[in-house]
Amino acid sequence: MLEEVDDYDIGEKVIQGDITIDELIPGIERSITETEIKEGEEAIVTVKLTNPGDNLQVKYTDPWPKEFVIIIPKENTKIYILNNKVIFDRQLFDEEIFTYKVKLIAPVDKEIKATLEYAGKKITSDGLKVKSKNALKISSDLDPKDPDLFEKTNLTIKIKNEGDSEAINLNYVNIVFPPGVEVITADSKLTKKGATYEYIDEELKEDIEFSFLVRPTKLGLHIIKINAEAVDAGKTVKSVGEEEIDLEVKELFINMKLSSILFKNTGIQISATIENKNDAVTFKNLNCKMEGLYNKEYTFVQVLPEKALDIENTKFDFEDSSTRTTTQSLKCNYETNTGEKMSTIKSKEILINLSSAGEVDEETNDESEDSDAEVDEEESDSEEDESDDEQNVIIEDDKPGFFSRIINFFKRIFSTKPAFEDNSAE
Amino acid sequence: MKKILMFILVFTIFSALTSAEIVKNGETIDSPLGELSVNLYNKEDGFTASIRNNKFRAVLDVGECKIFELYNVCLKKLMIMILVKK
Repeated sequence: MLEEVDDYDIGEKVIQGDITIDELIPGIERSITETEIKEGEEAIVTVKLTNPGDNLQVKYTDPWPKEFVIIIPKENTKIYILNNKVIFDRQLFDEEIFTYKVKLIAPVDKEIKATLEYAGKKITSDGLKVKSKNALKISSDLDPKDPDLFEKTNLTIKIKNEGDSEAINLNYVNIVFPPGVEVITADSKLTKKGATYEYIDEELKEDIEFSFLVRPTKLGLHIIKINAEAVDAGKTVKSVGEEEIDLEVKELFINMKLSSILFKNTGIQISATIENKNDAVTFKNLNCKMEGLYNKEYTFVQVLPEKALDIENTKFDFEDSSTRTTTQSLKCNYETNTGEKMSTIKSKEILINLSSAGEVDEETNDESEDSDAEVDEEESDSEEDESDDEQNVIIEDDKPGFFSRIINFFKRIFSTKPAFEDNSAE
Repeated sequence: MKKILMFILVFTIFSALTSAEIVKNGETIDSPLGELSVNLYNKEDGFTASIRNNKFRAVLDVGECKIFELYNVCLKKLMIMILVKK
């Protein structure tokens, strides 16, 4: 037997229902047997459409570029081709899986996306990246993979014959090094022309490999470019390869500790550390400046290695006691060991409220709870800070935290007489 | 006499979805399916909700869902709120 729940009055139970209404979105999954296809060859595309809702009228459109010819199986009457697009336009029940073939007829390097239209909406699938397989394949490798600044690394470049012919005529291979990469030793098969290494005129039957010993001499992204051209069965094929050395420099890490709310203007604790978080990069000509409530300039003669450096830990006073918000900042200008100029600034908003200091002292927890919460939040911003014993904000150490307060709240409720008894007593 | 309203959530209260609507018995909710009226009932072994309008109708126990067109309507949870006089 069902009994409708009571209406709600003070002292009565009120039943509430939490009802969610989520929109369901149909899915498109596509896969292809080959993402690199030789001209004249075919690949099989599999499409899976899913409908998580009730039966739905959908229109799936899968457009292929003119470099492909679409071949759909005769037995599948659910899909058709229109303007080099595969179309499924009908009711979609739980799911529909179908396959078709694409034949490559011209060189291509494209990302192909399909769309699904339903109930006035349109979703787009992930792209299928398809490119024509080149008779000339370039691959390259670095060992170690991510060298540091001035660290030597072995670069190996491979040129492969992946064409139909047993041997292809290699017209040339060019390897161009950017200015930030120094070539220490180069493969003896190559001739050097400026920053370019060349390999000319050779019949390529098997793979050919070039070895270099290089080292990056500048920070930043360096791209080594490889270009090759060959003639395969009377047809000229070109191929391009790239190898990247990315030397990213992490800027100086500054940690500054100062309370977010100040209730007094004497004996304010401020501390600051700086840290170089790079493995191979060192910083020199380091000049820092504190500005705001506390002002000071620092000039460092030493090169900053990876370890943290305490640059300030002191107490200070300030004169202007008006209630206001101000900013304390620490800005450092410095140079990397490769001569790049950099700058880092760390700022912190400070609320000065000297007038409320006495009140907070005398008042109970409730008044200071909010400000404590704010302080905690601000402090957590400055990374894994350990607790600051000499905070200028008035913090009552024995005050319960957020969860303790919730537990106490429930304890208070359950320790009083039950609600219904209270009401009936009245 | 000072009145304090205290909310006691007997069942789970946390982690409400953004799309969630908290409704009392007899209330209606605006939804992509139109205005749905909700009635909550006591059953021997718990509670159930009747959610309906002219095109959608479902009777759901807690944790149950019903798919309609491209929408999934669920009764996620029920909460008992007790208003206390002091």
